[in-house]
Amino acid sequence: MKAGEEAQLVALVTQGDSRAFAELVQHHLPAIETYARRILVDESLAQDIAQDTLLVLWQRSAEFQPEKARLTTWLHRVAHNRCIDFLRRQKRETPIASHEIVARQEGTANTVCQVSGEVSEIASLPLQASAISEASSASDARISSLDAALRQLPESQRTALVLTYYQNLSNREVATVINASTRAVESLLCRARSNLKKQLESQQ
Amino acid sequence: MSPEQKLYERAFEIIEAYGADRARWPEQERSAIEQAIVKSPKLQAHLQVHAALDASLKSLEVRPRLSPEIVAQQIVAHPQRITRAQWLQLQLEGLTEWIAAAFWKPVFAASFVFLIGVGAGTVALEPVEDWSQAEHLSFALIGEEQ
Repeated sequence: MKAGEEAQLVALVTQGDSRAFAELVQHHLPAIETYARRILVDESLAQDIAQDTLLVLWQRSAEFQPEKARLTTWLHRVAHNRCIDFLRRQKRETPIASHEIVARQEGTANTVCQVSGEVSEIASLPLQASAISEASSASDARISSLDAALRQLPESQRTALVLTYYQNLSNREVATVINASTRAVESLLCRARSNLKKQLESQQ
Repeated sequence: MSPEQKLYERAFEIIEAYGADRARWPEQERSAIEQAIVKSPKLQAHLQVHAALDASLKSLEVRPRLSPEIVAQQIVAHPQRITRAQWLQLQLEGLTEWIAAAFWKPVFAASFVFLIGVGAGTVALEPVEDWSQAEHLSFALIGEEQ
């Protein structure tokens, strides 16, 4: 859907046009639902957040400014804020979660992200180039361990990774969604990948 | 640091962050990074390693389950989410109720009891005209205590 067409549909939604709204829901709900499901463990909660996000579009479409961002970025930001609210509430209720332990280890992960340019470091990484074909035919166990590794990432790193790899947002759009600089997004992605590799290595 | 070395390090950094898929790399730096990769076997090896992780990440599929048609219909028919004005009104009502519960009711209850006491005292009891009996009584009480 082109940006101009989308802006027109949003303008119609602001006037209460339910058909325009249905068209936008058709286009954006799957992405928002999958995003929420990748961030939260609870599937029904993720669905609630996805519906709530689209409800915001129906009720507050006038707040959307097409000249500033794409609609998908705006919706992802709305969904992201709701996911974060939930995760923070959950964190207050459960004192020490596994992802917090990983978060405490972030300091050590930072050093891995430094540019070294040494092939020896590359060779020590758990996933070798020869593993591409293996990964493509990954078993269920491998997929579930990867899923677990992804869920154990600190929330900010997981969010940056999901928005970039699965939601296909650009680095600037990811920065808009999580309210950070593009440099910070790069750093989060770097740490996320590094942590993911470590998690996978420890599970092997 | 030479521009080549700078570009090499930036290319390394970008692969580290965005992976091997060129489409994810920042658009303005993409062609320069591609050129750097062509020139450097180390960067090519780095790219392949990250391609493996990308492939693993791709294997994690999440399929949406909500029906967009039903969700759109439900939202239009029953928008349960409250508007900002409604939310503000509810907050103010809650605050008023809290103030009423915290202050006015106990104050009113205490005032009510006090007024009943004063009223009953002034209406039902006659003041003692001869204070000598009361004085005798009080002296007797003090004397007993001592």
